Amino acid sequence: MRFPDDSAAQAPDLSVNESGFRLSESYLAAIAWIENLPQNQNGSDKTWVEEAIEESRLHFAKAVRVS
Amino acid sequence: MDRFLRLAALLQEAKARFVVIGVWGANYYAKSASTLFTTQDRDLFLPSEPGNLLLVWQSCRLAGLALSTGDEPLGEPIDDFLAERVIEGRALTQATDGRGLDVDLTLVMEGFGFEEVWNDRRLFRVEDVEIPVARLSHIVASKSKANRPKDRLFLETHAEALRRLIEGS
Repeated sequence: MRFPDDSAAQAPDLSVNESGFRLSESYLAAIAWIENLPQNQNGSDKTWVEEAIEESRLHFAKAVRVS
Repeated sequence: MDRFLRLAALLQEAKARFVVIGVWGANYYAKSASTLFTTQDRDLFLPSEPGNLLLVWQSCRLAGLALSTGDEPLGEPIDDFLAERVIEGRALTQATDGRGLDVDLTLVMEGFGFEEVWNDRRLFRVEDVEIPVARLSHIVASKSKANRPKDRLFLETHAEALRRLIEGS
């Protein structure tokens, strides 16, 4: 699925000011696009997310210092 | 069953209200394993209701998790009185199995009230367990308001991941 608005697709950016981040229009458009993807609707199967994170955790749990 | 899934199933069974927020919540919106964020903690946002907090604590205990607040074990007995005190102080409770499952039970999500987040939640499925997850827009807006160094790091990295995703879409 393609991002629908080519102008907004250009490098989502974040601007910083003293009171915190200002989320740019392009960033918010990208977030809305992500939320509206078919795989992010109610009932979507996210088993793969948990499996991938657990796999990563187990991988790094085995790491040992070699020097 | 995965340890977190067991807890989520117990919470559902108890009819406790909670929403997954934070980086773990954002991970449910990832498009592939390569865009998942590494985090140890799972943040569950709870309403400021003593009865609900008690249900959550009891579910954590059933799942074999130890409860603490601050650096101290949660007091005994866990009851309505204790839940009311914790809610008065807006205190964070932590639940852990000591083997990598660390869950933060928070009553606060910067910039949002519980009902707003609850009403707009997504219900994702992991195996046969429903996981209520905050909207991605709520998660990033909250992080922008919190504006801690770790929030800025997440937002900057997330923006970069989004840019790559859009360019490749």
